[in-house]
Amino acid sequence: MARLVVRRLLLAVPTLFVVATFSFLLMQLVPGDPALMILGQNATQSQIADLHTQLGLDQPPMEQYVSWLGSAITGDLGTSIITGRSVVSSLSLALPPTMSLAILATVVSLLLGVTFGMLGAVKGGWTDRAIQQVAGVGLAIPNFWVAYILILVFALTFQLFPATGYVPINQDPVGWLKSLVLPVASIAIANTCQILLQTRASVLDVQSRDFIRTLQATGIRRGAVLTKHVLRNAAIPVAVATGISFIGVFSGVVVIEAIFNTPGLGNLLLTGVQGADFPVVQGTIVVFAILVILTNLAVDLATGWLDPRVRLS
Amino acid sequence: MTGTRSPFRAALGAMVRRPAVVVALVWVGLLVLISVFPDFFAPYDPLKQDLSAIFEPPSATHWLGTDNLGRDILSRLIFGSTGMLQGAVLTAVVAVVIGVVLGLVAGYFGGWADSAVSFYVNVLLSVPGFVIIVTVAFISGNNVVVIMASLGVVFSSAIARLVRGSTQAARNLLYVDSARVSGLSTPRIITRHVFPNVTGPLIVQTFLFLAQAFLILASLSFLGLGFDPQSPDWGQLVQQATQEINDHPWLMVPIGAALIFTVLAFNQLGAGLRESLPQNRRESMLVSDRPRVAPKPANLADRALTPDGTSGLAAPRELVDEDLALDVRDLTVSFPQDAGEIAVVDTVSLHAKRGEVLGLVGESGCGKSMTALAVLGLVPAPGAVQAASVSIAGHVVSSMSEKDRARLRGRTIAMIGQEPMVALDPCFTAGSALVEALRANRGMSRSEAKATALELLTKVGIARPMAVFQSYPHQLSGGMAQRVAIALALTGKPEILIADEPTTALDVTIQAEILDLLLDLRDSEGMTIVLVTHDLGVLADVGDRVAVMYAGEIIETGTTADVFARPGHPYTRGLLAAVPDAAAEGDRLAALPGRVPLPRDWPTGCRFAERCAFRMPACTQAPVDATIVDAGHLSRCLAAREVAAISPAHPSTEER
Ligand code: SF4
Repeated sequence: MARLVVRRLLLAVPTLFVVATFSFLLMQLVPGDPALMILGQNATQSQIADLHTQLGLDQPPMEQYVSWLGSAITGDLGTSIITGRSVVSSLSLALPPTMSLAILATVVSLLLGVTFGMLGAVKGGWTDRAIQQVAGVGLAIPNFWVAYILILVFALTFQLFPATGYVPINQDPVGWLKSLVLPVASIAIANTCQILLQTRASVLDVQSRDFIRTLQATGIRRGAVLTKHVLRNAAIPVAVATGISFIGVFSGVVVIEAIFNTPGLGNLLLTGVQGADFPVVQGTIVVFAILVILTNLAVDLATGWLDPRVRLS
Repeated sequence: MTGTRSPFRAALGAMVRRPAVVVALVWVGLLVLISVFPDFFAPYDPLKQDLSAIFEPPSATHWLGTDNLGRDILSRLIFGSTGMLQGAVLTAVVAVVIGVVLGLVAGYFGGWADSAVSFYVNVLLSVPGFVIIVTVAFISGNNVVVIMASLGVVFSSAIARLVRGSTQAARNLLYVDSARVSGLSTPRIITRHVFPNVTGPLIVQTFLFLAQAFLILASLSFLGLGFDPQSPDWGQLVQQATQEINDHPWLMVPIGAALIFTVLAFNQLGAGLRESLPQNRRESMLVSDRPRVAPKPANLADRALTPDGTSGLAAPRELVDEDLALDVRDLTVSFPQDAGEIAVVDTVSLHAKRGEVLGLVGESGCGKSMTALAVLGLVPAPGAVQAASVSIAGHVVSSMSEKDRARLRGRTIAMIGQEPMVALDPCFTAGSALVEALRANRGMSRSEAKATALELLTKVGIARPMAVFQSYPHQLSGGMAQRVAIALALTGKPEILIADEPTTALDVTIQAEILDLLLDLRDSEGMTIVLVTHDLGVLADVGDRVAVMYAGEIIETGTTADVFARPGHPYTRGLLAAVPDAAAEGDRLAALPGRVPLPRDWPTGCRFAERCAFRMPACTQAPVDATIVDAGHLSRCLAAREVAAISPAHPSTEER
């Protein structure tokens, strides 16, 4: 297990390096002059020259790269061209809302998904088919579309939750929760269905394994077989699916945070992209990569904990 | 591969029989049509404004109503579908092409090529897909082709993994059967061995990608990225609908439905195909608490049933005394198939006295394992069991509820299986499995159970019980795991132990040890053992009585001595001749050409006729009844006495 974690961490270093390199290359890859892209076509010559100095574009590319990477390693990702704020401080402000969204959405999807997935697989028949159909539809609902439906129903019509905005948890925990209900729901619908279908498939798969027969032949009661053995074995692929859906939230937040005006990483990326704010875009990509790598590490730890074959190898 | 149809074709056939898949196919077909010929299908110009008819509800002129500028919504949907579908298809094509190439390279060459590809996959998966896409939209200046191609690159990682695994498997196989030596070129090898296995999963993935690509494209254009804001693509349509959501919520409906139906349709096609693929159709081992009531199977032999239930070729009744540990009369097991209810076990009768070893013998596919499972009450759904009666140690289980039956399992009757390595739950140590069973079967406390578990492990011949107690199944050897499985079966002190091919998966040296252990246990615990095996040789030393099964029927039964000395059925003779002789290992006679007929192909007359050297015209006319060879030795063969009169089939039996 320790070896697995170490290997993962060692692999994370070159992976992050490549991601960082790519995000550095963004500025080189855009067709034309990035400064023009930022300032618009009517920029004056001196404005452009100033921006070049600010972005380091007046240096040879290799030097730019080395100095960018050097500061990135020491935790300096530059300053935003638009707000003038340090990218790191923007990122640290944007992290809590996004993590709140991701964690809440995952907890909700995990609870609902496992419950109904297990129910369908064990009950079978009509219940199972109904659950499967609903999950199939749930998976097909675009999150941005359902976000507006939720806003229409729960914010505009019934005014139960705010339509937009975010309240930090240390300011007002209830307000925090209320501000997250609709975005979390928008994301959790598809994720729940994903985890549900995985749970159902895993439970069915475990039920088809030989040891289930041994347990029954040994006199273990059906209930104990299901709650102790089937659930435990099925949890391994479900943990993996949960990790995937957690990472999926980071894709989802780009749209969802824009809709709900949540000041998170997704919003930061999108406004960065819209304003051609290179340092912000680069920094956000690096942070997303770090989050994904950490999530995968957590999934490895979870599967190791659940599965002795992984733990003891 | 048997049969004329490949498994993939068969899966396609099974898939299109699902109604959900048919609906999905129709929707996708429609989508393709309208997106290729939007001008033909759209009633209006998607950009034509009519400010005198804004926000109209659905009507005969505007089926789906009009938007804020009076544009026809249906026409906008139809014209918008073109770009969406093109983008999604481009994504899928790029993903498949890149993924297949990388997967083949990684799987075929291995080594650093494999490491490089897996690093590529790792990097791609380390940034959330949509983040990559948004960034690409940014640097490409919103070029849809570049964006969708990049999405294809992101998706290619999943395909690369899939193809890599399959290629590796094929390559490993090739080293064994050395197809390369026989002169097949690499491309031929790949097309022959890799593609047939991955085609199904690949198509499943492609459908799922199409669905994903649709959602991502729509998200992008919803954000104003990717498409020309003028174009009526589907994300834009949602964006426009949200502008007026409070006053005109209807606008959300057509576009929402179109998106949901499309994504759902692609997902359904993927899931429908996946569930039809052969490797994904495995039955649950968990018995249902409500057994299915089955109609009479169509392929049962048309034999006269005797009222005392001996029609299934049991030894004559005079042998039956009160001391029967197991008494099965006229047991039938059937499964519903396309052709109707089909029996796999046809009117079988068996009995075993206390302390006896009864061998149940036959090739695989004869129904012997299913008979054993039926006795335990563990026939997997949707199987159905019918019997005149089944008694286990005096309990008539055939008339019990599943709940009462479950109470007998482990305590009165137990089982050990064929594959010890998969017979134990991989997540729990051998010790915790034993403790759990002891607590369930003997109501012990945890500490009592632990002490007893260690005793049991010693009893089954494990030298270091504590080490095994603490081991997980994957840390045990096959022989060790089988000993643990036997200990597990002993936790409830059963009177009957069913051993289904207990040594087949083990090393030859271990096989004898396990058989000896079973015999010792029979002697020390007074257990009755039903030994299910395909190898008559195993029974020569350990069996008291034998029942030979063929194509769902018992075809010969008697004491081991009688059956070995004077086999009364050509099939038994064949099995005996196939017993490997220790002296002449490798010189095995191919005494039994042909294979066991599938249950749905069982003939009316003798089921062995097709493979029988003694066949006469009468054999295929009507079901064959029992012939008495000796007292207590019966055979279901018209030539039984003649067959029994020939000299022994197996040289080593002569010396007995
Ligand atoms: S009944 Fe006829 S065909 Fe069948 S085994 Fe006997 S001789 Fe052969």
